[in-house]
Parts: sequence; C-alpha cells; structure tokens
Amino acid sequence: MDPLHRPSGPRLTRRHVLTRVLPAVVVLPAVVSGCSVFGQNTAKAPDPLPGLADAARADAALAAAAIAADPSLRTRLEPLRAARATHATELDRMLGRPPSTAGAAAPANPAPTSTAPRSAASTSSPLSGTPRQDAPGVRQVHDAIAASATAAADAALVLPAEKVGLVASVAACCSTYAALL
Amino acid sequence: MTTPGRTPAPRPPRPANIDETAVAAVQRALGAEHAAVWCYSLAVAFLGPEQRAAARTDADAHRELRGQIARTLSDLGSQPVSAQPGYSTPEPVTTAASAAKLLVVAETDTLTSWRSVLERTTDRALRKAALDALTSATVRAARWRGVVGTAPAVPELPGAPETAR
Repeated sequence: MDPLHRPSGPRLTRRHVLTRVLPAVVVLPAVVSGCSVFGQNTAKAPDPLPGLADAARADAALAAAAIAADPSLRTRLEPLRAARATHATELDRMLGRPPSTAGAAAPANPAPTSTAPRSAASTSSPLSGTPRQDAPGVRQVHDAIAASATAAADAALVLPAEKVGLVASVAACCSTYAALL
Repeated sequence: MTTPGRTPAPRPPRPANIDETAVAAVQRALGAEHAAVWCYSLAVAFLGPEQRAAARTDADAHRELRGQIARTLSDLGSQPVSAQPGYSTPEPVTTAASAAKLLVVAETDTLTSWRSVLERTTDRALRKAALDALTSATVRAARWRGVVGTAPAVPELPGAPETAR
C-alpha cells in the first residue's frame, strides 16, 4: 500500500476541475441543512455534519451510560466520553446549532435524556444498582466509535476545505479510540 | 480514447486539484516528518528499554511515510525539501521524561501539518493519505502523551491549532 504515491484521482485538466467541480462545491452547502438524525442523508444529501454531530452526542451518551452501569469503566471510557462531547460541541458550533448538554459527565443516577441515544435509552433505569445485562459495555462503545470514525473519515474526503479540518480531527480521534479500546 | 488495451499506461497522473498551495502543505508535512525522525533518533538514546522499542517502531513509521511523501512530491514535479542537519528542541533532552516530551512535540507538529494538508486540497487520494497520516500520528501522540502523563492521552481534536499543544 502506498496511498501517497498513487493518487487515483480522475485525470482531468485543471480547467475541467475548475469549471466542473467548483460550481458543485459552491452549491452543495446550500442544498442540505437541518437534515435529521443518523444518516439516510449521506447518499444523496451532501452535508454529513448534522449526522456526525448527532453521532458524537450519541457516543458520549453511550459511554456515559456504560460508565453509569459499571463505574469501573470510568478510567477507560471517561476520556472518550469527554472527547465525543467536545466533538458534538464543535460540530454544533460549525452548524450554527445551539449548544447541547447530552452526554454530559455520567451522573451517579443517569436520567433519561430527551434526545434518545442510539442504544443507551433502555439502560437508564434508576433502579439498577449493579451492571445490567443489557447495559452498554466496552464492546458497544467500541463498535459505536468505530462506526463514527468511518463516517467522519468518509466525510473528510469530500467536505469543503473550511469544514474538513474539524471532521478530520474527529475521525482521527475516533479511530484512535477504536484502536485502543 | 476508450480503445481497450491500446492506450499506453500514462505516467502517474498529476491530479488536477493539487495546486501549489497543496504542494506547499505537503512540503511542510515532509518537513515535520524530517523533524520527527530526528527527534526520535535523539530520544531513543534517553528512553528506557520498553519505550525505546516503541520509539523505534514509531521512527520506522515516520521514515516510511517520509519516503512516500518524497516520492509523491517528485511525481507532482516538486523537489522534496531536505532534512535539516539538526533541530532545536523546546527543552533540553537529558532524561527519559524529557525525551518522551520531545516526542509529544514532534507528533503534535506532524498532526498540525497533516490536518493542514487536508484543508488545502480537494484531491481524494491526497486527503485519504493525509487522513491516514493524521490518524497514525494520533495513535503515536496518544502513546507518548500517556508516557508523559498528559491527559487525555488521546488528543480530542488532533491537529487543531488551539488544542494541539
């Protein structure tokens, strides 16, 4: 593998690119904004940012739920939770969304949030004092962060320049956690 | 132009959307990789045995990447920048701890430069390569930040200007 050495872009002249790609780039950001949760909008709809922000929030909530279910996971998962909360904040800022507190540091007794996280919603029973069998664990958090890494990495290949830096950072962070967990 | 089997394989194409700005960013990344290789060779002398092995692995990764970047730049018709004979370290390196700290600085610099490459091209192949480099550098940065005791070990926004250090 030698990705740097074998650029596989289409063979076009710069003029082609300027005339064909530039108009597309200019138009894209205006087309989709305010698309709702979790994908479905990636195939045709070109703005992946809302989905990435929601995934960041969901990952933070999932990690918080895992920590709440098994506090011994705090050391491993709290930095991930905090990182995903930061990602959500930064992506929301880029989208012009108001800040959200979903996925905040795991409370002793997690309350259900209004923005239901992907698979954490069923775990926040206030009655559980010990880890529940269906509570999210490291495996679920790993799978979620790996999926988020892939989504962000895909987006980083196509986003316009002013957005790609943040999303690339998010992708690298998520990939690293996926590798470490 | 679509006759199968008759068109001679062209030279590796110069992707049209890698302009001078992108090439300059790749050159800066190469400069950061040169510096990283130098930092690792200095740090290895001060690290303990276990960390020394990790440092050698990481240094090899930088060397390989460096070779790939240099070839890419040549393909793009740009003379790859050379390594400096030496680099000044932010702090004197005299112990295992200060050596690990230097590696955090070196990796942080590469993170910044790779993110910058992503922001300066729309070429998918180059973006993919830069993202791979950003990701592998994040793993290495996490290792050395962990050794140094920087929390969190994994940078939240690798390569971002305000949080990189």
